[in-house]
Order: sequence, then structure tokens, then C-alpha cells
Amino acid sequence: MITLKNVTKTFINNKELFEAVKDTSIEIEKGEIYGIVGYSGAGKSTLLRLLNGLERPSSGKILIDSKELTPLSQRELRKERQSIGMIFQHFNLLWSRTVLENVCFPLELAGVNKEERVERARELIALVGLADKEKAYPSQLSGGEKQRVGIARALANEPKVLLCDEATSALDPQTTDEVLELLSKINRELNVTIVLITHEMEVVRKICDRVAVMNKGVIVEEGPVLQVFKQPQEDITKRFIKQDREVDSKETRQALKGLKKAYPEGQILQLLFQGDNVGAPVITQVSRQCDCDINIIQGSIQSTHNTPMGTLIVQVLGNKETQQKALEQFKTYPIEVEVVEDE
Amino acid sequence: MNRLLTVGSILTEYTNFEDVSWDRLWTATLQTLYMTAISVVLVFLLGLILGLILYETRHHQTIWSVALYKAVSVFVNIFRSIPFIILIVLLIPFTRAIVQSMTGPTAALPALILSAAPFYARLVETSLREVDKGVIEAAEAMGASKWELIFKVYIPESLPSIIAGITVTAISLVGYTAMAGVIGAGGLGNLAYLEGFQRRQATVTLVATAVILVIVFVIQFIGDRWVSAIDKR
Repeated sequence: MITLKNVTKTFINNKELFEAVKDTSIEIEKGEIYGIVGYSGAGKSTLLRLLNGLERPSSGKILIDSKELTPLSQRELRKERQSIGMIFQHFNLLWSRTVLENVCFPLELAGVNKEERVERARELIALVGLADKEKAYPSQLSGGEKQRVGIARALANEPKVLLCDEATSALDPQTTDEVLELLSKINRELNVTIVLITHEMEVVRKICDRVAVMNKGVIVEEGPVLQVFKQPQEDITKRFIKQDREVDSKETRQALKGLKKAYPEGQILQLLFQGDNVGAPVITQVSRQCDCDINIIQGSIQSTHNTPMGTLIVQVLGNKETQQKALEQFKTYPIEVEVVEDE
Repeated sequence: MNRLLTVGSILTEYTNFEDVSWDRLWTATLQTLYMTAISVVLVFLLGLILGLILYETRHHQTIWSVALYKAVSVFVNIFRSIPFIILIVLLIPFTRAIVQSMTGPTAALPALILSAAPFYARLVETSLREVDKGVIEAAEAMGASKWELIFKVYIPESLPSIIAGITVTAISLVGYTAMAGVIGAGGLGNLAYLEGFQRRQATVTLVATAVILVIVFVIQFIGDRWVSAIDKR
């Protein structure tokens, strides 16, 4: 659906060359939700804007639905953009227009007649759950509602692709979940391919099928979300995942410290379960087999787009030998095991 | 005692209402309204166009847009800097050529427009610069062309500020019409000068002032109402 071949984008800033995107190749399938995660300045915003021609690549090829964007004239590119929706962190609605008029806006640009415009806009406003707000102005809406309007507006011309630029970064956690749920629904029901960029791994975990991690203009790691979460290869990926895990929360770290003091001979392990084996009685079995006590410190289940993912932090009590044996034993199960080191 | 007498005589100077020819006051008021209305409309159009050109060509790199920006910018800066009373005199040959006359309300229009339009163009440019860049990007992402951006995004999104700007400009235009009146354009300024000053009828000046104040207040009121009616931010 979307193909990037060796795309590079260079900016000239104060007479200095700056490579925002370096020799990047991506293949995004039709109907998938593809996440690009990275810190600010990683080049993900530029990458997203290359996809609808708001930025032109310095070199390389970009194909949307097997149509190459690079050789298009400005006029052709504008036409092409009508089939690529985009939503933004700060919503970017026109304050001078009501909800209905905002959703009508892209239809006006596409030259749809007034009757059809209003009809189509009303359908979309209902789809995003704002049927009673069509006459409201953006200033009268909450952040979540504004983003819903943004989504309805982006879908007006029945796009094949929806680009999301940090779409939930300005929203509170509850609203973020609602908006992600809506995006997921749109992806399922309208079969729109979604490309989203974010700095929050949580967003990727919740709705993406595949993820690319971007750093300094380069995609350093890519793969199915579950795989990347289970076996992150790069340090930066690990850092992103850690952010999302509760191990990293202050309270858990405090609790870990306390336990280490109380049981200095214990070893703390983090177990990662996934999908079918979430329910396996691993703890009791290992405890029996190694004849050791296992202390459960914390457990949580996180949902990903497809399957649940469980994290369990446990402490194995006993001498070094027992600890080692238990660790080996854990590793025989289809779970990920990691020793939690001291800070 | 003496001072009281003086105050009394000043008051009588200002209250000799029999000096006021209400007919001529009415004609003068209409002339002022005529000069103000026509010049406001033309200044609005010309200023909007110049403001858009200034904004649009500001950051462009091509030779043509740089040249256009420089040309408009120099024009705007020069005409904004010439004191109005001098400009009107300076323009007499030009005015005579296009209006076929150098007295009367219509003869004041070229000078009024040429002095106010550059001022308003700068206000428009500032208003356009305040339009949210994110909204512009969103419209571009939806495939808006240059003209669609101007008419569907830039102007509607900066309209309150554009209207507030023309309100301020209209009020200064009322002031300019009075100045134009002194050198023969008619209107309330002319009345105050010819009858109030040259014939020493302070009451006429006072009444003319009152009418001008009413005009200014009405313009301000309409402008404020209009802005708050369209500003949905």
C-alpha cells in the first residue's frame, strides 16, 4: 500500500545540511496500523509528511497504492492528497467553522456539491459520535471531541490512508484510549490503512500491528508489535518499552528496593507472558521443581492490538545455586525471562 | 469677579446656537460620511490586496516575489510616512488629473485612500501572520490550492482582526476628512474651519466636533459588535 525506497530528506538550516530522514525503506501493507515511534527530532514528523507530499524527498521513491508521488506536479499532488487523510496533535480545526462546516471543508476542496457534502459530513459526525454537536464551534469542544472532529474531517474524502501526527499526545489517558479505540474501529470497519507517529509506546502497544523505531533519521528496528515488545534488539527500543512497563514506575522501584533489603539473598526476575501462555501455572511448577519459594511482587496485564501481554515481577528466594536453577527452569517455558538488576 | 465674567463669556461663545446653520451642518455631515464611506470601502479592498501580497511574498525566494515584496513594501512605507496634510497638497496635480477638480469631497478621496491603504495593508499583514500555522498545514494536507487557502483559510481565520483593523482605519479616516476639509474638501472639518475659525463662531466648531464624535463612536460600536459576532475562538 505504501512503499518508501531509499528515501532521504535533507534540509538546509543556516547553511548547514541536516538529514532529517536517511536512506529509509518501509513497506506498509493495506489495512494495517503501522506505528513509527521515536523521540522528538528523530525525523518521524518529516517521514509522515513525505507520505502526503507536504515534504518532497531529496532522493528515493515514495509509492502510495502503487502510484509514485515524486514525479507528480503540485496540482496532481493536491489531488492525490485528497485521498490521504491526516490528523494532528493540536487538531488544527478552523475555529471560524462549526463542526459540520469543518468536516465539509475537505469536501469543498474536492468540489463535492453542497447537498452531498452535508449528507456525507453528517454521516461521519455520527460515526465519530458527535451527532449532537454539529452546530458547535471548536472552542466549545473538549480535546477529545476536537480530535473526533479532526478524524471525521480526515475521513471525508474516503481516504485509503490515514496519517496520524501525535494524534493523542495532547489528550489525557482516558481520552487517548477513546480516540485509539475509534481509530481501531475505523481501521476495521472502513479498512483504512493507518500510519501513526508517536513518542508513546503505549499507543503503539494498544493499536499497532507493526512498529518501526526511529532514531536520528534512521529506522533502527522494525517488526510486529508483539515481537518488538518481547525481544527488543536496540537500546532505544528497550528504553521505549521500559517507559511503558510498570517496572519503571517509581512505586515499583521503591518496593523492589525494600524487598532486596529484606531478602538480600533473593533474585528478582521479570517474566513476560504473551497470548496463550498468560494462564500457564509457571510459578507453582518452578517452585515445586526447584524446591524454592517464589515471592510475587507485581503483576500486570497489558493489552496489545491482537493479544494480551502479561508481566510478572517475582523474587526467587534461596542461595545462588537455587536461584540459578530456577532461572534455567523458567527459561524452559515459552516466556521471556529477564533478571532485574540493581540501579 | 473678573474670572467669573471670563468663564461666562467663554460659555456664551460656545452656546450661540443661532450662529449654527443646521442646513449647512447637515450637508457637511453628509459630505463627511460620503468621504469616509467611499474611502473605507476602497481602503479595505486595496489594503487587503496589498496586505495579502506582502504576506504571500514575504518569505519567497524567486526573483519576482522578492521584487514584488520590495516594491509593495517601499510603496507602503513611503505613503504611510507622509503627513496627510502634505500628501493632499502633494497630490493636487494627480487629483486634478483623475477627478477633474481639486475641491469638494470627491477630490479628497485619492489622498485619503493613498494614505490609509498602506497603513491598513500592514495591519492586514499582521493579522494574516497570526493565523495558526497548523491550520494552514491541515488545509494543505487536504489538497487546498493557493487561492483556496486565501479565501477559505487565511481570510476567514483572521477576519476578526481584519475587521478590527478596518475599524481603527475608518476612525483615522474621519480625522483625515476633517483635515482635507480645511483645504476645500467640504465636510465637517471644512465647516469648523470656515465658519468656526474664520468667522469666530466657536459654537459651530463645537457642534461640528460633537457630530464627528458621534460618527466615531458609531463606527467603533459597529466594529466592536461585528468583531464579537464573528469571533468564535
